[in-house]
Amino acid sequence: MKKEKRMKKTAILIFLVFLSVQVSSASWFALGVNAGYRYLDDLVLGEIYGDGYIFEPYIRYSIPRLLTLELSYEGGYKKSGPVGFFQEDSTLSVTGLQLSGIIPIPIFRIRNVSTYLKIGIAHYFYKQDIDSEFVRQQVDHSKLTTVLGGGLNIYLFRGLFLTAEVKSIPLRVNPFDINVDLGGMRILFGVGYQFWLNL
Amino acid sequence: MINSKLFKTICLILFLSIVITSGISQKDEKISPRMQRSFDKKGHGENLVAWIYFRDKGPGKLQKIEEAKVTLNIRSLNRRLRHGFEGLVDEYDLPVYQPYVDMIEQYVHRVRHTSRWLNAVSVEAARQSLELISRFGFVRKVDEALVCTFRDPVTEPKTEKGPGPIPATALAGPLAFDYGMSFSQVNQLNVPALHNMGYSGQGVLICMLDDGFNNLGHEALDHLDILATWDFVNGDSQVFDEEGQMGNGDHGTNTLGTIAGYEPGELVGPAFGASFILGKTENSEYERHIEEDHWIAGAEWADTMGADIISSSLGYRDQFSQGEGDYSWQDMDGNTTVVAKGANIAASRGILIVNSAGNERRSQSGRNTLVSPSDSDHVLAAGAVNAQGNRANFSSIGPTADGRIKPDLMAMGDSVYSASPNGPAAYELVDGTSFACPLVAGVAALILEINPSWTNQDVMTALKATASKSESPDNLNGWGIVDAQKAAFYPLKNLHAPRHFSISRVVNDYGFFIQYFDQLDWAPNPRNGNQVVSYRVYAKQLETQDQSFALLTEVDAQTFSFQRRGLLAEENFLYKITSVNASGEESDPNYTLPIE
Repeated sequence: MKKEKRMKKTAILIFLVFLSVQVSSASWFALGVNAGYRYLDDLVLGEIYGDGYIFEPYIRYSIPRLLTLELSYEGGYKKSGPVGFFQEDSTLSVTGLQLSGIIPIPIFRIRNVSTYLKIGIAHYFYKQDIDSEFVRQQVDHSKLTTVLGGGLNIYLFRGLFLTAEVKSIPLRVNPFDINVDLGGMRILFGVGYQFWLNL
Repeated sequence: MINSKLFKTICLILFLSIVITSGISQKDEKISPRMQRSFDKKGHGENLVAWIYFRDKGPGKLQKIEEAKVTLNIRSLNRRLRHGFEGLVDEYDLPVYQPYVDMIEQYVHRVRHTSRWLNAVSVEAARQSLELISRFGFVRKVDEALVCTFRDPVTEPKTEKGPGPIPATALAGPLAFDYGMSFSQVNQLNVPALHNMGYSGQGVLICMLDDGFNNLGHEALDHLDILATWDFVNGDSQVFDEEGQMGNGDHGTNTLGTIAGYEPGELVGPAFGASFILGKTENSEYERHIEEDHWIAGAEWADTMGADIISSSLGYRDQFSQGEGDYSWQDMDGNTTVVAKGANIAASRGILIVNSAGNERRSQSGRNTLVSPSDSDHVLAAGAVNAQGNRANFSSIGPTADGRIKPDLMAMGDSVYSASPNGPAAYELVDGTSFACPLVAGVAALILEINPSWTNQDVMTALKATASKSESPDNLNGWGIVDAQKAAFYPLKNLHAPRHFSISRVVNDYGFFIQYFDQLDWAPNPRNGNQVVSYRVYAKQLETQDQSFALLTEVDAQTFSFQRRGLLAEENFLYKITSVNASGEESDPNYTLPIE
């Protein structure tokens, strides 16, 4: 356990040193927002709340010749539905913070279009509110998970670009005794703007 | 021309197919799935035992009801009057329409019994005959008559048990009788207190439904006032073993000895002064094979003879063949088995039925191991304890499939001292809820002697309200060990608890977690008339030390259900319900427990 912690610390340290060296060369950052649709894999909750729309503001920072880092927030999934034997009104909201690395993968050579693979970690928060005086358990929990996806950027002019992205975020949770699968695919489209840093 | 011919042909084909298919479906509907499975298992020429139910009781119903009133036995009439039975006679009392029986008789090997309560005959017949009979317009249903087993208990060797019965001489205090080795079994129920007052069940008629009653000349049985006997297996009046007849055995000797044996210094049963009628059913050495139609016939006979109490040390659950037709734990809801239906009709006529709970132990699944008709709400199910008052490990447990607490009451069923069939002065120790049953029935006879105006429900209420676990009944010991004295002098209220108080625990799945709710249902007690203004539901959590009940709700008299919501899996409650009248008086409670 201790060994594992030490290894993690070392990896972060190496990463930060590497980052500081890379900032000195031609790097950029970008701001943007995606919006799209997410699927909910859980069969029971899928019946009650279903899939839903999400939005995802993000900030990207590039490390030349290596990867781009992205910090994003996923919001917008807040759905209502009748739950339980008595079909009481309820709401489920799922939000998350994601930190991903974007690795360029040149699949096809089209000018102004770049494709990429996205790998990262995410911390998701989920909350279920049930409008019932008889409910004795409160679902307001969070869980760390991974992000795996891919997409493409279409550069328009200057720093403006469009994004299309598909990603999968597994999120199997068990706040009480039942396994619930809050994971699912995301399909997103968005727009961003890239700023160059001239250090 | 051709078109017209074609049209006619099509019409003819359609007509024929409708006739044929309707005939088939009618046949299929009338033959029960259980009977159908029995058909599939047995050979074509082999005889099966079946119930044939009729649609009606023939013409002239009103006139027949008037005639039935005239012919009603005076004892039966008195019991019904006491019970407040409206009209005294109803359709159940009318005999089966004889022309139907005559018609059936032509196609079957043998008509075994006719049941006026079920409006049916039980027959032995081949499959082809039963299929043919099912097509008769006056036949409503053809169903299998089950052959069940009633297992004798498997008990540990005597040395591993407690000290067993204690002779009366070992205890101090003045007693009217020397109970000999039977002291423990009657003293545990506080019977000597009533015997000391001069009560012995006089004037009460008890019907014993059991197998062979041998050795009735036994020194402890020869005093008995036996008004009638009937052998339902062989169709004669001899209830002892007869050469070449079916159904030999002597379990009945033991149960009769337990309830009414009288030989001071040896054996004194609780109701030795009562009158008896003895009905015999089938028997074998170890497992007794019991056919349900005999029990129904016996119960109808008890009604006809005017019996106040039926003591039935029999029960129905597993079919002897272990076939698909077995009654399962789910059938033990008091309304499914044929014998439970029969018991309910008997109880509606005011007969108090005491039945052994069964010797089926606890099931690993925690489900009930009851035998029918002890599952009926109108039957007192007697479980067994030992001399120290601990539940005998073989004694069957509840709750019923619809969530009612069973057994009802406990009495000694472990090392019970009784008359033996092996000699005129022979005695033996016997085990089983079969012997707890006559002990409870004997106490009921004492109560009826002291309170001749009480109904069967009154006796049940008094027995439960005064038994050892009356405030915290459970599915192992019911309301506990009977206290004859307290029950006999229990101040009955004019207000009665609601009936059929049952529970079902329902899953409430919220996706991330599960909660439960207890669905409580009950029915009004018709004896209350219009005096009930509300019902009060109380609960006591079983996992806590707090022994007090908390009021959950009070609902109006038109509401017969309540949902206790927001429960976790580990929370179990004992519920009780009372009726409340306009002046705020509460009835005695009725209880229910969740299935463990």
